[in-house]
Amino acid sequence: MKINNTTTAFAYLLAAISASASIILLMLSGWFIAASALAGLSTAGLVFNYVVPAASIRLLAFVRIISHYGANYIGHDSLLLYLHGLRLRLFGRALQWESCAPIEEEVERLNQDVDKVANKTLAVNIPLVSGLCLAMLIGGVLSVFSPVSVPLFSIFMLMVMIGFMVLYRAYLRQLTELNNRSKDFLATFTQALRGASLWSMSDLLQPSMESYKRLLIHRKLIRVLTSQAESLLLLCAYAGIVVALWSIPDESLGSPFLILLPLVLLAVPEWLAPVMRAQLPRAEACLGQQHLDSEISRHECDEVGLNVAPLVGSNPQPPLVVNEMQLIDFAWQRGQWVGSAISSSFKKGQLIGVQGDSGCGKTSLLLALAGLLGYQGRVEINKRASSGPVALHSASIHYSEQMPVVLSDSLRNNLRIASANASDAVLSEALSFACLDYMRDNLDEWLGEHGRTLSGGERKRLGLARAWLVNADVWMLDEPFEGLDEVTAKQLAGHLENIIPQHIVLLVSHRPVSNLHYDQTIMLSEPTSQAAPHR
Amino acid sequence: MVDEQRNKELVGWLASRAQPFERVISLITFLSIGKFIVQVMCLWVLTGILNTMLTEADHDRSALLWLCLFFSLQLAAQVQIDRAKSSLFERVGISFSDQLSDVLRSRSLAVIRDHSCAAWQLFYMKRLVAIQEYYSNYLPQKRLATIIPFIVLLLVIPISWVVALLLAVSAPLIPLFMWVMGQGAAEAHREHFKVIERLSDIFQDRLRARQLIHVHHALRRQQEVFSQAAMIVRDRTLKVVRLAFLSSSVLDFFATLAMALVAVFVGFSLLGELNFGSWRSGLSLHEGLFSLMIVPIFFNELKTLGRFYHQRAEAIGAADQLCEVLSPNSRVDVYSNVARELNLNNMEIRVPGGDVLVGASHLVLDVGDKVLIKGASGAGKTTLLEALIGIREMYADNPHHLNPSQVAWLTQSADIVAGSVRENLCLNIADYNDRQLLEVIDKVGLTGWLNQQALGLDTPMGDLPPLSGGQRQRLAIARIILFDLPIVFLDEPTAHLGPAQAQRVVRLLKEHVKDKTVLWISHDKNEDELFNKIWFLDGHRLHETHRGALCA
Repeated sequence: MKINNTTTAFAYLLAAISASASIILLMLSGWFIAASALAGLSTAGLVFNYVVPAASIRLLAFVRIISHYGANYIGHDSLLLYLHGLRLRLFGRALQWESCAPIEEEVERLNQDVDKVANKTLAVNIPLVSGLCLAMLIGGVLSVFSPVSVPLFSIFMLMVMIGFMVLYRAYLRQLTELNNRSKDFLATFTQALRGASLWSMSDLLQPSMESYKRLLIHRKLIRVLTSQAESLLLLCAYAGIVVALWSIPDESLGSPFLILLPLVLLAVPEWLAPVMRAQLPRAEACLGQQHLDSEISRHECDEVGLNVAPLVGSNPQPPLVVNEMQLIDFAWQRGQWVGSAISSSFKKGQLIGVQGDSGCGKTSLLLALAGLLGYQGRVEINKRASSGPVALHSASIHYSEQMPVVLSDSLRNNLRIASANASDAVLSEALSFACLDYMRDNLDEWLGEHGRTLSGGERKRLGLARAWLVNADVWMLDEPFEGLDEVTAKQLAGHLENIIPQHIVLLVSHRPVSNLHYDQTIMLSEPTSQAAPHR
Repeated sequence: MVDEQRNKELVGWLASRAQPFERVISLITFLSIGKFIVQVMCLWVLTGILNTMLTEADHDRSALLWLCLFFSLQLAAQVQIDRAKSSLFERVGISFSDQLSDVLRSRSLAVIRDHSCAAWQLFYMKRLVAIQEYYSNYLPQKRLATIIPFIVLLLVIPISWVVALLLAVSAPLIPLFMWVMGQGAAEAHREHFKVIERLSDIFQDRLRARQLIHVHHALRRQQEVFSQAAMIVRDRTLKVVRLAFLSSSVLDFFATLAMALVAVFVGFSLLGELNFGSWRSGLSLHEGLFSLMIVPIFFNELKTLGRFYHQRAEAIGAADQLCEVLSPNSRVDVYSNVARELNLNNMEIRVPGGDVLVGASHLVLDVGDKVLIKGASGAGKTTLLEALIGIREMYADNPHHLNPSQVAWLTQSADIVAGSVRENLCLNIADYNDRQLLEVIDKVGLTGWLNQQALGLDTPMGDLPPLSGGQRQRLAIARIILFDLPIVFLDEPTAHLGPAQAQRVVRLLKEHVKDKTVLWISHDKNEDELFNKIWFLDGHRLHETHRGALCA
C-alpha cells in the first residue's frame, strides 16, 4: 500500500507551525512585557503600539493549539496507514516463506520491528523536522532583533547537534546489545520451559533467570543513558544562559530584545527535549528496518524454498483429478537430507500404510507427495509424468498435518479454511465424520490462544474434519489416531473405511487399529545425507 | 460498569504491590519538590538580573554567581532523582521477576501448561516492563502533578491576585482533564488494546499456520481476513487518538491561553493601562517576568503525566494477567504436606471454572505400587499426575501429595535440553564420571550411536546428531536411570514411536521401574503383568481396579 505523502507532509507542516507558534509566543510575550515596562517607565510620549503585540499573543495561542491537535491527529492517521501497509506486506511475504516456520519469538520480534519502523514518522521525523524549523526560526529572529546573541546561539546549537549524534550512536550500540541479551534470554527461557518435566531433578530455570537479570540491567542502562543526556542538555542550556548574561555588552543593556536569548534557552526542555527523545525511536527504527530486511532476504533465498511449489494465492482452476499414482524411485528431499527411494503405485479404493521408525521421514514423504516439499525421482499421475512439486500441489491431493493447527478464530472459520463456502449443515456433517458431534452446536466458539483450547485428540479430529471438507481424491493422514482412546479410534477407523472406495488414502500410524486393513504397506528406512547442494 | 470495577481492582492491586517501594517513591516525590523549589529560586534570581539589566541598564555580576549556584543545585537534584528512579526501576523488575519465577518453580509443569510459551515470554518481555515503568515513572509523577500546581498558586498570590486567579480558573480543569483521560480514554484504550492484541494474534497465528493455509490454497482469503482486522485496528486507534488528543489539547489550550493572558495582563499593568490585580499599585518588571515564567511550570508536571499516561493503561493490562498468576493460591508450597505414599479421601481436582475435572472418593498409592492410568483424551490424566505432586491445586479431606523432588517424569516427546550429551545426562548438577555415563548409555543401547559421534559425550545436542524419537526416549531413560528417583511418572512415553522402538523403550522402562513406584499413562497396554492397579478415568471419576493376584 502506498503511503499518502501529502498527508504526511501536511502533518510535518502542522507540527512545525505548532512548535514555532509556541516559541514565538514565548519570545513575543517576553519582549512585550519588557517593552511595556520600559514604555511604562519613560513617562513621556514614547510611542508604543501595544495593541498589535497583545492581539498577536492571543492569536498565536490559538494557532498553536489547533495546529498541535491537527499535527497529532494527521500524524497518527498516516502512521496507522503506513503500519497497515507494512503489516500487510510482511504478512503476504511471510506466508510465502518456506522451510521451518519462524519460531515464536521470531514472529513476535517481526511484529515489534514493524511497529518500530512505522513509528518513525510520528516519533522521529515530526520532532526532528519541527526542531530544525525552530532552530532556524530562532536563529532568524535573533539575527534580526538581537545580533549580538547569534554567535552564542550558533555555538549552543552546534554542541547540541553533536551531542544528539553521539547519543544516537550510543543508542544504536546499546540497543544492539539489548537485542542480543533479549535473544539470549528468550532462547534459554524457552529451553527451560520445554524441559519443565526435568525441573524436579535440576533447577533448569536458574540460567534463564540470570540471563533475565542481565537483560534487566541493560534496560536500566538505557534509561540511565537517556536521563544523563537530558541532564546534559539542561546543563548546556543553563551554561548558555549564564554566559549570555555575562557577556551582554554595555551598549545593548536596556534594550528589550536582550531578553530573547535567555528566554529561549530557559525553554530548552520544551523545544529541544522532544528532538532528544526522538533519538531512541530513531535508533530503534533503524535496527528494526535492518532486522526486517535481513529476515526477509534470508527467508527468500532459502535453499529449501527453491525447489518447492511457489505459493500462488488461491487456486482458481479446479484441481487435477487423481485416479492413480505411480512412484518411480521417489524420494523426498529436505536440504541435504534425502529419504529412501520408493517405487510403488496406488489406485482408487486403496488404503496404503506408511511405516518405519520415527525419524525416517514418513511425514516428509507425505509432504513431498502433496507437493509441499522437494523430491527426487518421478511421480506419474493417471499415467502422465508430473512436472515437479507445482503439479502435485495443484492435483487433488490433501495432506492432513500430524498436529493440525488451530487458528485463533471461530470453529466455523477453522473449518471453512478447508472449504470456503460450506454451509453449517455441511460443517456439522464434517464434524460427525471426525467424531466431534458434540461440537456441532458451537460453531461460533472461539478457538486458539484466547479461547477454548482443544486437547491433542480433538485437534487430530479437527484435521480429519478439514480433510473431509476438502474431499480431495488422495488423502494423506499423518498419525490420525494418536492420542485418541480406543473407542473413538475404532469409530474413526470405521468412518475412514466408508470413504476409502472413492479415494486413495495414505496413512501413517504407529497404532494398529483392528478394523483397518492395508492394501499395501510402504516401509521406509533412514534418510541419507548428501553434500549441501551448491547454489 | 463491570470493566470500570475491574480497573479499580487492578489499580488497587498495583497499589498493594507497591508497598515495598513506597519509601523510594516518596523519596522521589520529595526530591522532585525540592528540585522544584530550587527551580523557582533560579527563576527569581534570573528575572531579577534581567530586571536590573533592562530598567537600570546595569550588570549585576554577583547575582550571576547566585544563579550559577542555584542552577547547579537544580541539576544535582535532577541527577539524584534520575538515579533513584532507575534504581527503583531495577528493583521492581527484580522483585516481580523473582515472584514470577517462584510461581514457575513451585508449580512448574502445571502452570506452564496453563499458558503458552509465547505468553510466558510476554510476561517477562513486556508485562514486567510495563509494571516497572508504572512504579518508577507514573506513580511519582502522579503525586507531583497534584502537589506542584498548588505550590505555584501559593507563590503567585503574593505577587498578583489576577495571575493567581487566571491559574485558579484553569486549576479546576485539571481534575476535569484527569476525568476525561480516566473515563473516555481508558474505555477506548481497553478496546484498542483488545483489537491490537487480536491483530497480532492473527498475524502470529497465521504465520504459524502457514502450511495449513498453503495446503488449503487459502492465502488470499487469509490476507483479506488480516487486512480487515488491520483496518478495524486503525479505526479503533484513531478513535482512541481522537480522545487522547482531545484531553491533551484541552490541557494545552488552557496552558497556552493562561500564558497569553498573563503576558497581556502583565504587559498592560507595566504600561500603566491597568492598575488593578496586584497588591501594591502596579507590578514591577521583576514580578511580571517571574509570573510569566512560572506559568508554564504550573502545567508542566501535568503535561509530563500526560506523556506517561499510556504507562498506566499498559500496567493495568499487565496487572490483569499478572494478578492471576501471582495470586496467593496460585503458589503452592510444594514442600508442605509431602508424603511418600498417598491415602486421599474425597479427592477432587477442579478446572479454573470450578467444575470437577477428576474426582475420587478414595485414592491410595502405596510405595512400590505399579499403576496404569487410562482414560479418554482430555479426561485429565496429566492433570491428575500434576496434582499428585502438588503443582496443581487439589481438594481433599486430608490433602497431601508426593514430594516432587522424588519424582522422575518422562513425557511423550523426551525432553532434551540444549548442551552436550553429558549435560543432558547430568543436568548441570549431578557429577557423574565418564564410566558411569558410558555404562548407563550402554544399558539403554545407545553405545553404537555414541561411538559414531566424533565428540563422544561432548557431542552437542543441536539438530546435528539426528536422534530418532526412540533414541531420544532412550537418552531420557538413561537420565532417569542415572538419577534413580524412587517414584516414576510416565506420560505416554511411547506415543510417537514405531512398534519396534516402542517395544525397546517399554522393555527398558520395565526393567528400571521394577522396585519403584510407577504411574504410567498409556492407551495401549491393557492387562500387563507389571501393574497391580489400574486407574480408569471416566466421566470425571476415577475408578480403581486391583489385580488381586499380584497384590497377594
